[in-house]
Amino acid sequence: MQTLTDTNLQIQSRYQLNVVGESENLILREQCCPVTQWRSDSEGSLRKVLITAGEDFSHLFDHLASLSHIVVEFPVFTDGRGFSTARELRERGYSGNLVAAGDFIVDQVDYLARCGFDTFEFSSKSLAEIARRKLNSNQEVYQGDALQPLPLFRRRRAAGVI
Amino acid sequence: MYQYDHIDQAIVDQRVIQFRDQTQRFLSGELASEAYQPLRLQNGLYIQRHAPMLRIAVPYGTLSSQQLRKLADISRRYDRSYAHVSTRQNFQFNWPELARVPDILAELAGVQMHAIQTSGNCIRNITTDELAGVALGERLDPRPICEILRQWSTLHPEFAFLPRKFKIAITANPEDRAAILAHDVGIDLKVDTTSAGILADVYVGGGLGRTPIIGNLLKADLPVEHLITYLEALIRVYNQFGRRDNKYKARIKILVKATGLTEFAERVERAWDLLKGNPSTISAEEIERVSAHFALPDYRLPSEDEVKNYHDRLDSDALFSRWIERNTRRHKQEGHRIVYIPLKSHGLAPGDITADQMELVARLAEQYGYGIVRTTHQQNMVLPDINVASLYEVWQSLQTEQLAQPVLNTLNDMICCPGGDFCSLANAKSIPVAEAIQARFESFDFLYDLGPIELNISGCMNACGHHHIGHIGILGVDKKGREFFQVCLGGRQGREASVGKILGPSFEQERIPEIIEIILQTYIEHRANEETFIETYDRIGIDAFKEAVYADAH
Ligand code: SF4
Repeated sequence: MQTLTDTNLQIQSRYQLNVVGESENLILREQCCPVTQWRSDSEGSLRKVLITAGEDFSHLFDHLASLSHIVVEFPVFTDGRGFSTARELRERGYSGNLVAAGDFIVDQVDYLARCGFDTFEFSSKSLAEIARRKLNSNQEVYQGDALQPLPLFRRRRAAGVI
Repeated sequence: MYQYDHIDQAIVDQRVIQFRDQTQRFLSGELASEAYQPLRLQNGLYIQRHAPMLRIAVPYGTLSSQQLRKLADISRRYDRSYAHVSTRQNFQFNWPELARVPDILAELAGVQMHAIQTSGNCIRNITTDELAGVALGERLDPRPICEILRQWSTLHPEFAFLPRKFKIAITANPEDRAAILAHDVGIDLKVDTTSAGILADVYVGGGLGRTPIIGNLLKADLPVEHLITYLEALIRVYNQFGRRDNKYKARIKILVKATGLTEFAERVERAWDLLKGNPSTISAEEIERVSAHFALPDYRLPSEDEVKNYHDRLDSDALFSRWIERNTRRHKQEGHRIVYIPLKSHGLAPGDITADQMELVARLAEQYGYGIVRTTHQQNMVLPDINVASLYEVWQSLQTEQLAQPVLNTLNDMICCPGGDFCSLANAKSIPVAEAIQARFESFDFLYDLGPIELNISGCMNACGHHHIGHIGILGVDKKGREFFQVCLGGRQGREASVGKILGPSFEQERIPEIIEIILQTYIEHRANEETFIETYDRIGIDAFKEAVYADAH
């Protein structure tokens, strides 16, 4: 069967799946500046920012190119604000690492990835493994998203499916 | 109606596989029940008082006869040979077994159906006018836009964990049968007289529940191609700022109220600046592609003989003519009528339909109605396109399954939530109240004399039975562990939607039929000329009813 998404995804290299306390490249909270304290005149040490749900992050918008990591913390997995935060950051042109941290669950990784997250912090290796499998499976989707800006109705046309 | 292509099909099939995996992980203990809960809810699966309840999406209330047959079949093999039509036009099964739900979803996928986002804190199934495409006075057929929005909202990655559920209703008819003012978002479609394009008026913040609020106009004359990006901006603002600390204050209506409509509209505009014109802007080709699925059937005009025959029957058969008058409506196509099927049979809860009944309706749709069936907000069904030449046979067949009761729009055509018989949130059992009222007012002459009355019953403040917007609303309340019922009067739906007023202290269940009778007698005493119940109420106010009902207490 024809799938419209596989040419656009190179999953293996796209994502980092980190295990808290194990992975070397894990972004530690201590390295991040809380977004509430972040100022544009801050020095380069503040290229990493932590946003917790509900915090205003609009003062980052003019400086997104100077940031290397934005960690979005989920207080509980049912709190979906981080999905919109990620989406907006990507839509405003942020191209650095976008890290999902905190209490999200592995069943959310595909939506998180579609909202623009490329790095995930898990509490165990087995969860990271489940996430890897999920992110590897190509799923058809209707909407445009951070991975694929065109909604299905435009891809259908492009692929000549209709 | 819309037919899936292989991609639509793949999306639904993927979802079945995913849900099977989640359910297996839950049953094996690998997935905690708190984590499983929102996942199963997004697939329409509740855990109820006695068993799980599975809610199946009927997008904008349109079903094919084949789909209805499948529902009948599922009800026999996986449930207790009946199903329930909800006020949001969906189907519910009350007795499925959790472990078999993935199999049910697989069966549904086989007929292009699913249970995606029929519950949970996400964008729910989109509803519309049950007479879309066949109603007189319609500005345009809203179904293509409904389908485009169905696709957009299905498995939307950003909006699956909103503060609370999010319901959208759409109409394109001056007569609003979709209750757009009682939804989180209501969309009123119109034709732009200068460009012939479609415009949308977007209403926001309506909703019932604990804090009933009628929606407000947020954006007028939005060109329809911007509908998706505008809704994304609106829901994004809600997702970021809606309250999450108290589930009773988490609906968008509370945010709109707290922010103020003007300020809220400005925030949405600012969010929209970022999205407006992006590739999600609906293309003319897409509207055309989807609209082609809703082309009108090839209506056959009845012959002169057939028309004459029909009129002869009307003259000679009083029962038939009463059914035509009560349960059918004019169709925009000459030679056809719209047939309503009230799901208000004796011995069944309002909205319930047995497997035999489903099969009969499916057969009639196939044989006489271009294979299409609708479900309605009033928990009834509709055969939208019946040729007058077939009406007599349709009527006779419906009678064999008690589906021709001429009670449409009467007191006995009530809305009632599942209540304490099924729902674990209930304060009280609503179904026995509905039955007791129906039993008390059985005489058609009395019902017809009363004229159109909307009576709505909810088993608790969540208001699934829309009691606030019934002319007469009944609400189950808990009084020191006992089931009591509060009565409100004067609510209404449609464009003049308003919330009813509470009559006074609540009553024990046994007294409800008697109280309703006093209310009806008060109306009959006071009505002038041909006034309907609601007109009399508007003229005399609630006090006359209050005095009559609570007279004993003085
Ligand atoms: S109104 Fe209350 S009792 Fe009735 S179905 Fe809704 S939640 Fe349950």
